[in-house]
Amino acid sequence: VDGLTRRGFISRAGAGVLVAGMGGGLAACGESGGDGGGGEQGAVKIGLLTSMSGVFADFGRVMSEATTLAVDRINDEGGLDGRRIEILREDDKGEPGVGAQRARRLLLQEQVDILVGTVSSAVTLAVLPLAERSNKPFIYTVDRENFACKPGGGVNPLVFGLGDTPYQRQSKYVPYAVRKFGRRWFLLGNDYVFPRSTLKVTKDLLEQAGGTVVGETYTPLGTSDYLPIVRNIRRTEADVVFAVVPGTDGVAFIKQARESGLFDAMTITGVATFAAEIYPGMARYAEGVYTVDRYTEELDNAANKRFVADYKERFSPRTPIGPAAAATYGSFLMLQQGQERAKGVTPEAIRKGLEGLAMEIPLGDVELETDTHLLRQHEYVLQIRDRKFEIVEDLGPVSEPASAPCGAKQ
Amino acid sequence: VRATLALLGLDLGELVDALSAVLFLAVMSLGLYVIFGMMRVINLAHGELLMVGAYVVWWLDDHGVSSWAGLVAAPLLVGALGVLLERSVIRFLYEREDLSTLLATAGVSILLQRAVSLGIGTQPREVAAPIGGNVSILGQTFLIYQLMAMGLAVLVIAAVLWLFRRTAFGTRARATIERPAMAEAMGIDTGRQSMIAFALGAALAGFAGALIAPLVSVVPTMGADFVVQSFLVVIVGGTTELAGALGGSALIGGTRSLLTANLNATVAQMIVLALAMIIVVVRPQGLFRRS
Repeated sequence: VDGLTRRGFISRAGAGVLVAGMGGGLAACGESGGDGGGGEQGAVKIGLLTSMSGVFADFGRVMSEATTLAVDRINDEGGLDGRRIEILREDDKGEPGVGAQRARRLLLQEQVDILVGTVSSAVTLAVLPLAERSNKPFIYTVDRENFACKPGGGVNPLVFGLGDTPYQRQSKYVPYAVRKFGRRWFLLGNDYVFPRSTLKVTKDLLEQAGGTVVGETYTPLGTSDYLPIVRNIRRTEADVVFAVVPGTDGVAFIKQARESGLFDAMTITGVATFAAEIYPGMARYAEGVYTVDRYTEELDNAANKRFVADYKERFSPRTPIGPAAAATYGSFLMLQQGQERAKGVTPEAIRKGLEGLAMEIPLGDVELETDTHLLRQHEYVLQIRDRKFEIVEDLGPVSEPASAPCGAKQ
Repeated sequence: VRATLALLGLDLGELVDALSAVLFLAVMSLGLYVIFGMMRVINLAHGELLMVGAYVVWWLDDHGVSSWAGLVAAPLLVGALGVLLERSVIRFLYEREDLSTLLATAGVSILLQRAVSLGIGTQPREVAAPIGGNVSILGQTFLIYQLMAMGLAVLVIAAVLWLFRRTAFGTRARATIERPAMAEAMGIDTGRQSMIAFALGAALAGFAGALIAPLVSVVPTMGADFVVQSFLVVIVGGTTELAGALGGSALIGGTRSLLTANLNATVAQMIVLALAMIIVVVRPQGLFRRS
């Protein structure tokens, strides 16, 4: 009988895999395939590879909506080089294996001209060699790693990264937060690559800004009981808790910290924890929190005003529009603007069009830098007030240094 | 009190946190135990029943009904869902001495998760505690809700123990658990016992979901995080003693909480898993089973 119990436990893990698989299958039926008509002669084919199911599904959904909006707009304005854009959507389920397979379908079978997308950096890594081998431009809009580089130095000519790196996100915010909230910091993260690499950057920046780390802890993904950790944090009498706890874990932490009164004892801030995409799970508890991001729906620029108005009219989102949607939308505007510099959609024309391109997109004024193929972009100190991400301060544009270590592998 | 605890190298706050983790896990595992003990069904949908319980509270909260009502409505509705599942799927599989109930409940778990994803959406939902805020006792801060939830958990656990040990239903249930063939020969309707047991187990999962909802993010996949721990409890505690669910919870939940406070959460998880493996090897019948 006990043997059966243990076998049951193992089967549970198997069932989990099955759930993920089935979910993806269902979503793929609904989401893959072209945008109306499809396959018409002379259309520019752009592949959108993103997570329509799995843990990143909320990001994938808004990226897909933003793409629809951007492509309809560009097609109304004459398309790319006089040709309509046709979008082919594929679901990577947030898994590198699936992502590679779907990317292969888009690049080899469908022969898309350009590939846009990915949320998870593991998927981006899996797609990179395929894009390179098929010699097609690949623009990743959300992933925040430096993958546009070559491991031996220099840039990958056809890869463009629009996400802000941990350095870009934090280089001005950490000193700002030390000045404003205090020098003694507690670092909290989930125990996997992204929070650890982000907090490593935080630590370096904190040292340079004259702050100290008074405590540091990492929790396994799927932790729901943060009460012992909240108690530990309180004991350190830190001035600042800097949390990199994305997703549902972050919601559990924020709720338990708020109810325990930790917010009255110290400032709780961080990156990724308060993303607009997961915010609805903690709205009542995150009021007053400071964070830093490259986008908020409240940005006062012409490109964003039009984007937000169009997005709300078309999709009536129930949550704030976040950076994933804004950056993906921006990537299409950049492709359109790039046509002014180099006509056509050959890989060479796309590269010439994008390299060094400076323009206004919903994120603000950005420049796709020639030496890194990453986006120089603004970072904003935000405060959650009345369920909106209000701008406290524009920290100005930040570049990823060309000397930064390369995240791409050989 | 504080001096005595300090002498023992313990901290009142940590102990209360650990106790609340243990009690929550015990409610969850009792449900799993009741279903397994009575019917030999390993309910892989237990986590999803918890999830449905949490969504019941969210739905009521969202429609302006007090979260107190959720604590009553969730076990009732999830219990009813349990009856539905037992009558429509599980009962046809008792006769088969194979793993088909495992597959069936795994299927139910996928079905429930996808149904909630499609019907309500995957975005996290927010549930507020019926009583918010915190209190300071002996220099330690506690969530008022945490203390209240502990009290409710104790009541529910006591009620389940009373039901099994002091009522005619309990006597029949224990007979069904310990000697199913003999029980049937004595005229006990084991089919009906099984239906009630499944409903009770589901209701306990629903109650656990309602209890935890204000402290976490309510999402369709939330069940998986909890079900693994309660399966560990059943493995460690053994599968025939109700007390095993409590002892197993104390060992798994208590160890994890205290180690998280004093070492770190990842090491705590490793040690708890290692502990479970050692117990499986050394005492395969479970720690709390009378020999």
